[in-house]
Amino acid sequence: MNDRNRRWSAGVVAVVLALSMAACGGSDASTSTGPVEVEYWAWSPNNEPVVAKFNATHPKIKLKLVKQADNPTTATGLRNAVAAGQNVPCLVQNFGEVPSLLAEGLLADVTTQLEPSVEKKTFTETAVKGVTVQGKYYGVPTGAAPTFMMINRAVYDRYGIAVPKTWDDIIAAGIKLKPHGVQVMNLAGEDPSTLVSLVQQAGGTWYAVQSDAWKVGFLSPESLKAARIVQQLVDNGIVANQTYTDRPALIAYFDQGKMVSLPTATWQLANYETNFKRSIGNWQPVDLPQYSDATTFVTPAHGSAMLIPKGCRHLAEATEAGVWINSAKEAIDASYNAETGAYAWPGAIADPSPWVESAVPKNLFGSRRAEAAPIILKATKAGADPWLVGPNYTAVFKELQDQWALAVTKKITFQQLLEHMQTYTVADLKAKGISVAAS
Amino acid sequence: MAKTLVLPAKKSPAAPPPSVKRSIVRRRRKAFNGVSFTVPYFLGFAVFVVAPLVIGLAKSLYTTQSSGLGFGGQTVTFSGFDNFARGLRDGQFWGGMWRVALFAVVVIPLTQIAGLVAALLVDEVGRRLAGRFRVALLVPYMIPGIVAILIWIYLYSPVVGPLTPFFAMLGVHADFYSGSLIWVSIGNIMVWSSLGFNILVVYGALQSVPPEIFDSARVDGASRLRIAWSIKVPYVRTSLVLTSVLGIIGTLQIFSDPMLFRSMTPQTVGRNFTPIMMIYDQAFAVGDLNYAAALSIILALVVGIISAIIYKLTNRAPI
Repeated sequence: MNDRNRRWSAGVVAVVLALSMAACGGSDASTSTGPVEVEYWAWSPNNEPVVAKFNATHPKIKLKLVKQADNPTTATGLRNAVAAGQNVPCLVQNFGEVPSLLAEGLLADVTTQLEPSVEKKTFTETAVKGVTVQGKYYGVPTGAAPTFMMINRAVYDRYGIAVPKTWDDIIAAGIKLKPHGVQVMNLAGEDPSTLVSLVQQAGGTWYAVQSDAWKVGFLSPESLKAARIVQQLVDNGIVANQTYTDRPALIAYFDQGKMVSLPTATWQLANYETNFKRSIGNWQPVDLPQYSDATTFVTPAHGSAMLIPKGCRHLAEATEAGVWINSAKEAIDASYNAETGAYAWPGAIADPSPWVESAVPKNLFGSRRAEAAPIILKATKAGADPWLVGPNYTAVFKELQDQWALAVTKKITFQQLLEHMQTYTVADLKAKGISVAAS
Repeated sequence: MAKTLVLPAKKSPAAPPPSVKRSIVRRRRKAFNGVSFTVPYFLGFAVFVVAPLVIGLAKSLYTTQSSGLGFGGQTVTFSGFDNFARGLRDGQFWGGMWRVALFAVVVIPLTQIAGLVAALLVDEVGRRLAGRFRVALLVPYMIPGIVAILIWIYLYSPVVGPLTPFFAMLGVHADFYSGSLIWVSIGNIMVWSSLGFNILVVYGALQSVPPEIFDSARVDGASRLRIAWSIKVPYVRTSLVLTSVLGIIGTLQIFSDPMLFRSMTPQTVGRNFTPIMMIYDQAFAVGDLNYAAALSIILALVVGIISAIIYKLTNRAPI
């Protein structure tokens, strides 16, 4: 029995030793001299060459790319890491709106670290707005991809319909196309982005700050104006409701010529180029439709961010790496994707023109390919960002998605959707103890 | 296990007095050895059931609050049973609960009856033929749930699936993603994948019916149908209770089916479609872990109460 006891205790000691040594090993690595390691979480493809280029040109910082499965797993992973305060990455691909992630306590204040780049005007003002909350910076600006529209010109021509310039034109075109079994646009049941973009294009926002309290404005004139457009699209039965989740089905549907206008952005083009079989070459890039009463040409360009989480121990190095990835010429050059022939869209810098040509695929637009680059650059210049989101936008967006699904299937009107969202958002803010201004 | 504990004890009285003490020690050690076999199970039970339950209970008693514009950090405050009160009044949550309850009332009896009939039929055919059927019927059960749902989702798809064109050929317009058919679509997957398990359990129970009873029934002139209804069915009743209770627990907690359907047809399947979906949404999309914990406990209580009631009722009924 003695023997056995001794064996047991020896075993326990061995396990304890092994564990503590493993723990020491962990802390040793982080305190050793040499380059500072910045862990970078991203799920989008083709980040490896950018990271390699960074490491080759920055001896003092070692960027370590940790590939993530997708958007939701990254969100869960980061929430857990920040809550635990251990193994917090220093750069994370964006999975939400900066204000709501900040309210959740996930982001670090990098105002002092980012200030020099902002002063040097490395990024556009619109892009910087995307990381700004109450005058402070949380993350590195990644900007927005320019939005424009592509139409299946062959089908438009077949039925003698002019290229739409306004949203009213789109509705009129839809009414003419309907008898031929052709839908003018697609409003996916899970994706209220069409409504959001229309509100932004009208110059509206659902949140505003008024003397230290949130003013919620789902029923603002701009918002109602946007709702009227979508309501007409749905009421006239001129839109499809294909989901974005089932990509093969969606692409096949777009390719059939049954849906003919598609608000799009540069990053989506490669996908259409590769997968369109029948309609390739029939598409034409056109300006994003405007409101009929619009005085200036506007595209929505709400800026996004590369996140720097709270608990990151190397804020300066993380900011440096983030700024480099999103603005340095060699970084954007390194993002070249041989498969699609395109670069990561440099949405945060003032002049993306060197990379525009490559963003336009070879065959998608057929003989109209040359029209694409000027349209993309025009959209970039016209980008405006009146948009502000509140601290509870994560929950609000989920509710909006559900309401949107009901509205596109005519179970409720968009007016009812906005009224519901107004009540829901105010109630949710109050329930969380956040101040709401009387409206 | 009982044998190894008892046998040495019976032998020991023959030993001389000084060794009695030692034999007690040995017996204790043997008992300890026996008990130690259960350690892995109880460890798992403690870590994966008891601990989460306690943590969940603790979480459900707190609320996370912000102040001002909501950027000044969050404070966690004790709020007693506030989350439970909110959950009990939450129309969305109970809407999901009723939706699933209604579904369960239809699909569980259906699965039970189909399973019973199939098991009786398999029991009727010869043993070798039965073996082949058993394997075929078990295949759907062996396919992992998520994979099964994915297969069916593509079969159902009105855009790329073969079923919609097939029904169109027969002159029937069938959109399996539509609000009117969504529960039929989900129910079909559920019956399809749980049938094999139910057949296996019921068929196993049928094997333990003493053959003499059949002989005497036949001598009395009972038909095969009569034998099935009056002898076989009563004999497998306890198995049916078991599969029913498992069915109820599984159905009220239905999650992966509607979740995958939601990705295809968000117009039909909302985020609060079933109770577990709402809990998942609160915890991982909205980020309100406290409320999600309270809802989980409410759901566990509801499932527990319903299972207990069914169990009591079915066990009391006379044969």
